[in-house]
Amino acid sequence: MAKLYNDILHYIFQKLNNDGSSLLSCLLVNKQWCELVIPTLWKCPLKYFEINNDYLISKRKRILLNIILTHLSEKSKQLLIFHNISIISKEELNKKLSFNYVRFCKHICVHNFLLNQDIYGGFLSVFQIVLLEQEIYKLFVSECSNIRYLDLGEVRHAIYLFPGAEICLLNLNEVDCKSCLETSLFYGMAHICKLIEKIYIEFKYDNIGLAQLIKSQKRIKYIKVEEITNEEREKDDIVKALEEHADSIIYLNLSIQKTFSYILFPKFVNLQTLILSERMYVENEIMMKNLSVATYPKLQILELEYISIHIAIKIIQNTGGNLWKIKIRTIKITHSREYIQAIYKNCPYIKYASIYLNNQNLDELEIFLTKCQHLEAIDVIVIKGDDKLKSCKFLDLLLKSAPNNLYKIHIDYRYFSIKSLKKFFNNWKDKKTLHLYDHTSNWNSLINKYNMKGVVGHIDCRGFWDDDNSTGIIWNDK
Amino acid sequence: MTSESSEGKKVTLKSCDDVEFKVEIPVASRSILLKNMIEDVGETDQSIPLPNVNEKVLKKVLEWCQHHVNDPQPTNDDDDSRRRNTEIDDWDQRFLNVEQDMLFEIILAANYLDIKPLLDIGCKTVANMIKGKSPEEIRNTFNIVNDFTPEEEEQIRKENEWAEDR
Repeated sequence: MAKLYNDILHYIFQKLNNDGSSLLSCLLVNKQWCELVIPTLWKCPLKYFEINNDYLISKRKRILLNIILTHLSEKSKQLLIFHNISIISKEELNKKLSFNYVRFCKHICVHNFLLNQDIYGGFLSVFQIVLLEQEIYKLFVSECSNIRYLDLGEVRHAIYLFPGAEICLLNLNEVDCKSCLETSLFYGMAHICKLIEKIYIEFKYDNIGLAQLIKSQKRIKYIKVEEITNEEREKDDIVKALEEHADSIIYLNLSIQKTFSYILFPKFVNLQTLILSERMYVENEIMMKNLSVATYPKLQILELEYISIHIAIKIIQNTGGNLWKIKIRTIKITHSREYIQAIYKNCPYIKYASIYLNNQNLDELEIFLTKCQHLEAIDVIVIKGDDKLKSCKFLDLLLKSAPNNLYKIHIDYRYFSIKSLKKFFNNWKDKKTLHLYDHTSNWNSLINKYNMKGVVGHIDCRGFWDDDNSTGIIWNDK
Repeated sequence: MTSESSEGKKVTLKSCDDVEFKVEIPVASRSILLKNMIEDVGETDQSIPLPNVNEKVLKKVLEWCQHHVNDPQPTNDDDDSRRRNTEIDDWDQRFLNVEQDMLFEIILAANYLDIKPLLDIGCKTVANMIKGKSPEEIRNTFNIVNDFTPEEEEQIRKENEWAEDR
């Protein structure tokens, strides 16, 4: 029998990256598998705690914490004993482990994950917790040679001064930052870290230290900003620092409170993904003005929430024909005809698109379906108006003009009669098996009830956008 | 070499058991190893020997390359920030519905020939065979001998039982 090499086995285990139980089984198969699985399993232990059972999670976290504490240096162990931090027995603390597991960790999350109230049960003082945290950070910083992700928001220690920091933090790739944190932490990090590519910023105040950290990086590619301020931010150091990276930024995910520095929009000329969401629907003139003059020739993914369709049209018109995904969620629907036209005139490779339909723009749908030959999925939002949507005409247009690749449709099933659907499915038989989606999985029951299997098939009708084989960016990639 | 300029032109591949396959260049170029060789050597009548792949496996791999000839080439961008496809499409599922030996041979050939998408779906298929199984069931499935002592196995299990997420 052919034998798979270690690098292939490693690749296979990575495919099980989200399945802690299966990795645990692999770990126990034999010694060779065990050594290959440990780096995957210990890369980011916290990812295996995303189930909804608080009791079980606390129990498992305690086990993990105990194992991590067993890795502590003798000096740290003595310090814990000296300060009566007895969350683990002396016997367990001094147990010999089979491996040095923590050296494989690439994500550090101590305060929010390991040392929350559930774990220490409220019997440790604040001083004891801070001390415990410090010793755990020291352990990670001295043992891990390649930390990739760090949440700076939870770091209460000058970790950049701990022994081993220069090696441990050298390849840091992703950070979560809050602009309200101490500037000294950012300055300290900026001294060591130069290779951060992904940065999430909770933006409330200006912070010259954070600006320095941003400036010190060789190439920032992905930024996610959550604005939680109503103040004008254009002259802030953080904004100026981001501007210095405008050419290298290919991904912008921005949650706008009110006044992001819209002057930045035209400067991100190499954007491939643009995700904008507003807390409340606004038609901001400055935003409109800056987005109207912005050109994004490389843009592939556009997602807008609570932003006017008019702005969406302007953005689409100023792209270079590479858009393949457009997701729009808005409450005020205007310019729906121009929006559909903007897509079929400017996006020859569109695969996923939201469209807004009523009886007045059904003729545009026909052109849209004919011209967008790469279309795989449409997300149809019916505009509420005086007339009921001519759903039979909609279905006829799909039959007549849908491109061969189209197989996913997101639409409320209530617009259709069973009779019209049966006729439609009967005529769809020679095309790709349809996947139908709505918000409540109603299509699923319809498919089962009327035996539409074979023509319409999908186990779960939810998750239209989640299931798009997209190459979207994963934040805090565990 | 673009697929347009190389359309119709063929290259001869020779398996380790000396069987020759005449293959259109765009099909062979699904393999990055072969693509680079063809680009380096240029047009040639000589066959390209593939000492690590036998006739049966090469035939199967070329069937995959033929089916996926028009797929976009994966980029060299090793950026792990991007989400990878998680699904195996229907055709590929049927294609990989083979004996375990053959599946492993295909994976090894995809690795040797540098055909990343094929390697990827092959590994996903094996991962799917592992999912939900106990260590003993995995050993039985892949005919693996357990070389842990019971004590070693129990200690490692205890040190990692926090990962048991079911």
